[in-house]
Amino acid sequence: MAFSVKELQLLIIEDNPGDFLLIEDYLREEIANSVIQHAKTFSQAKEKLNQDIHFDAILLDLSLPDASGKQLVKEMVKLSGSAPVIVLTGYTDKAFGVRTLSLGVSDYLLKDELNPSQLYKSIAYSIERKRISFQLKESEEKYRNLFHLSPLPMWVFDVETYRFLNVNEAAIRHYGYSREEFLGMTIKDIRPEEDVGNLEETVNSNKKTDVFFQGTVRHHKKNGTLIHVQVQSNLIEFEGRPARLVLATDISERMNYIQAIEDQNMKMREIAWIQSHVVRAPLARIMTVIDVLRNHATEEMDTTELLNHILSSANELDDILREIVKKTEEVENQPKP
Amino acid sequence: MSLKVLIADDDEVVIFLQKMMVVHSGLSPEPISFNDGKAAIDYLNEQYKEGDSYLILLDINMPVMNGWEFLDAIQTMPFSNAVSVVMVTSSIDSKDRDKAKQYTQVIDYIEKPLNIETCNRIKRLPQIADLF
Repeated sequence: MAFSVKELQLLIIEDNPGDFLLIEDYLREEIANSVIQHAKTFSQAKEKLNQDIHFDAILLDLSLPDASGKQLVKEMVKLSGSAPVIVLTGYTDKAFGVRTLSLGVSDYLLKDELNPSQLYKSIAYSIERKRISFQLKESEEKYRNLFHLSPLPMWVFDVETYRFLNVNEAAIRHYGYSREEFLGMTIKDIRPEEDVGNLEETVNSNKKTDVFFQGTVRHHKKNGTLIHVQVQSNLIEFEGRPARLVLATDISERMNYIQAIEDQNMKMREIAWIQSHVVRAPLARIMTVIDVLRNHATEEMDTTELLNHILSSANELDDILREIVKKTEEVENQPKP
Repeated sequence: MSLKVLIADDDEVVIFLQKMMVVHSGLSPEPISFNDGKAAIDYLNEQYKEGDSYLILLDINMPVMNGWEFLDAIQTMPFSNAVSVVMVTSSIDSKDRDKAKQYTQVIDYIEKPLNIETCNRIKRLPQIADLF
């Protein structure tokens, strides 16, 4: 096993010198490079555990001068951290030895049946078991963090009661409700009243069939601000109940940008309209007058008046073009949102 | 039976020039002009008799009642079937051209300037060709 190359730090808590020597012997026999620390009392053990030494395993005798039984086991499990605790008992304590397993110890061994290989096996299994359960805990923690520390607001709601079942930090920050307030509310409470009908329809129709949902909805913050939110959600089971995990992205700012762009487009269309309608009026007039002068001139025609029409139309055209330039500059100089 | 030609345009110079074209082309010896759609409707309400036919050269952008409002207004009037409309406008916006097609009275759409050739084209339009 891997132990043969790695140094093992072991703590033996045993007040009986004979028992300690025996255990120590067994250990040396099976595990070549083990470092064994000895505590004769619970308070000594506590001291060693507080010294910042990482123990790979702890062997615990159940009757110490300053502590024993259930209380001792509980305290030790609490102090042991990631190290597995293996209980050593006598025959008389066998029943209790079994019970200690539910208190968090990794294994129990009967002193009278103890032998080197059994002791070694128990330590090896306990360390491995503890390592796996620690990994599991860590991965659970990782997933919890993914939810709670996500920069985007997330929550879980019950698809039957609409109640918030869990909310993350970002949701609390963004919406202004405390966790307790959220957990006392339903998702209907953050919707404008007129949107609740739609919400019920969506939740109902997606309850079973649709696993993934995406849409844009409106939410109220606690301070009353109405925001536009893109929500994505999928069906999960949360503490045994069908629920949806929701990821909400506030896109209000994005919508404001779009509005600003649309306003600008409107102005551009206005300019295009001016070009099409207003510019052409005096231009068409000039074209007509030239047509008349060229093709339909008669003796009695007042050519001066016709030339004046051309000039006034040209002036009008000039004014219109200046107006277009002014409007274009207005669009260009519009403050960027 | 003859065709009376009306010109509706808010620009006096345009009216003067269009009248000249209408007369020169023989579309009408005596076109009658108005500065907005409302004035043209008032005239028709007063003058229309059964059997009369009118050709209106209609501008779009006019004060009081513009070309579109004029077209909407005549739909329910007794002379609505006696009126043929040629849009004569400075607009080169295709949306205006499409919109004009929706009115049964509109038989042509002319982008200004109006000239002798376009007046002759109007005379040959099947809806009114018989009247020349």
